Amino acid sequence: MATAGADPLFPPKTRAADQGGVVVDGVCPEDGGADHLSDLPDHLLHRILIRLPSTAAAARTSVLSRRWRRVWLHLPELALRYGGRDREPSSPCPRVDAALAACAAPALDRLEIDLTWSDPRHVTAEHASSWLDFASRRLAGELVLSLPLLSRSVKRDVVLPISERLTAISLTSFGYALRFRAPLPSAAAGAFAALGSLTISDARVDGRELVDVVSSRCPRLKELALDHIIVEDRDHPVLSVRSASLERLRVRPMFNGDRLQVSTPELRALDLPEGTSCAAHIVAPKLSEVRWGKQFYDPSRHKLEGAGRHLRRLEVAANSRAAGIMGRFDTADELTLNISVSKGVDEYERFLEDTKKVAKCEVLVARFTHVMVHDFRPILLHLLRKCSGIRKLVVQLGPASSDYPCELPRCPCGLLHNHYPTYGVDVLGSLQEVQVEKGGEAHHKLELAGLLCRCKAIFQKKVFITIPVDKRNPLMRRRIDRVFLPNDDRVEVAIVEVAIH
Amino acid sequence: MASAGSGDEKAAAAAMITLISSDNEKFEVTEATATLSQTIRHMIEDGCTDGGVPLPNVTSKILARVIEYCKKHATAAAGEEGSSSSFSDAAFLEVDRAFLEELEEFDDAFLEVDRATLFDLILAANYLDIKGLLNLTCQKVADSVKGKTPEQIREMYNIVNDLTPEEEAEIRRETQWAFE
Repeated sequence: MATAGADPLFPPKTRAADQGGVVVDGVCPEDGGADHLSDLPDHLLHRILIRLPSTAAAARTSVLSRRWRRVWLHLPELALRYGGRDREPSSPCPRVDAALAACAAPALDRLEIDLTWSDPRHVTAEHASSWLDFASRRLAGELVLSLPLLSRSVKRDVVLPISERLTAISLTSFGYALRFRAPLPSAAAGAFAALGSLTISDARVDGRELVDVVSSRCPRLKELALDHIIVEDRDHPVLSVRSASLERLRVRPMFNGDRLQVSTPELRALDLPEGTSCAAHIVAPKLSEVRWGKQFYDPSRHKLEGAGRHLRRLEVAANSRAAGIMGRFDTADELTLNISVSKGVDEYERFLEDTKKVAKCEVLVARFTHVMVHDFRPILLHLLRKCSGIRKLVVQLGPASSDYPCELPRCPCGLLHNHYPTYGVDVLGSLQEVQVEKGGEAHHKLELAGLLCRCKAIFQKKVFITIPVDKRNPLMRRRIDRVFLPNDDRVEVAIVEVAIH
Repeated sequence: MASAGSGDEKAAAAAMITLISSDNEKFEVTEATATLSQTIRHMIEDGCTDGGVPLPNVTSKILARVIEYCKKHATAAAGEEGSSSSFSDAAFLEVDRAFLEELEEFDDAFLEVDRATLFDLILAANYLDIKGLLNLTCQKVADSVKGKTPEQIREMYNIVNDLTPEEEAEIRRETQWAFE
């Protein structure tokens, strides 16, 4: 680290006067040594200090001067982050304990303790439980606790006392078991009365206890995320979610669950980013958004009850057995297809098979989520044939593989007729807008522009097309202009200059 | 999706508000711009903005800068209403991202000010209750302090150390956990 004298951004005070307020890349020293910073009221100093990388950095300001001695003690937010690339030789726990012991704010807005990359041998369950206990007493806001990875064989319980004032909880505790405890000995007492959002990642939970907490002790819970949890239950590892208030639910696959049961009258959004391998019974009459990842959807094992056939938003891995969900929800305002077709003729043909039936939609988002192996153009044309009624198309291209495009003989992606926009579709009667997103390679965007230009013949309305180009690449702009110009009554192109890193 | 430009036309038809700085300079701004300030929003709601809003704590120099910020961000706020991404990690639509980048560039350029102005902006943002501007300016100060030793911070901000060596040693003992 540079010493103060050598730091070119902050020249010593004697030189500051000569500079007379000239901006020197950042905060500029000037006006004769006034201490503007210390003059700020405490609540503004707190705002500044909570923006430092950690509470430890904020606490070190206590030695600046007498004015600063007690400022950090009343910080409304604490962030204690330890560990990192080089694991520390000593335990972070005493430091966390010391920081919490020094904290003098009567009610914290936020407490974050992040020990994800610490040595798990240093972090005992007792420590973690004592921090949760602190949180339940002193926090009236958001709690974020991330514990380090424990080996699977070790079982430790971490106890979260039920607290009236917590508004959001996020617990990542690889391998630890999470237990809930009422603040009073009587089991009937207490609720997470203010809790709106609960996220549990990589923890063991007692299935029955979780049901009890979510269904009867979280009256205001709107968002629940359960990521890779392990359900501990003697006989049937069932993950059950019952809630009268829940609006958004995310579940990433459980390690051992064999059933997912959801009963949520108010649920709007169901997010299964990886789909679900276990059987599911979901009752959600108000469902309007669904994301279903690439694990397969099977109508006989995955029951979605109460919801209609139309969604506001549906996102699905297009080239997978999950695409079958478009049989359950066959219309959507906005449909996002995440496309990733692996190498091989069979893979391409399976993609065609999986996307035989595509939900009817107004807006289609075609997102190439992985490295593109096959030519993207026949894939897009295939989807356009399936969705010829769309008003808007959004395309996000991906990076290309080293041997892009696929040159396998007999692969349908190379067949000439699959590149003809007019093949198998008469008109794109409703299309009015095409939005190309950033991402992918510049010359592919050019190819996409060429494809859209060839589609002109089947546009019925005037189509507005936006294409992002790197602002440092004026050549690209000219080449796209050449493909489209002049704009006419069928197409108008807007080129958006963006910074592409 | 609302585009970046659509806010302007709407704003042009909207009501105008007059802001009066401490040195009696008058600034005419749209209501959409002015209401980025919660303080002014409440005054409008209470119907006490006729004849202008006097801001005795803000000089014309600073008020001009604050208005510049609010104008830019009022357009942004109008654009944001249309874009709600459903799942938290879903990609945002591209035009919005480009606009957000433009906004970031504006903010960076906006913060190229001398230190006295920066602190005046903090105080003005606090008084006018403009959350975005307050966060932006506080972040700027925090970034300047980041990674610096107490000695460097004192030097940078002209903080006079009035602690005796004994007192300083005592504080260091008390907060030893933070220095490890």
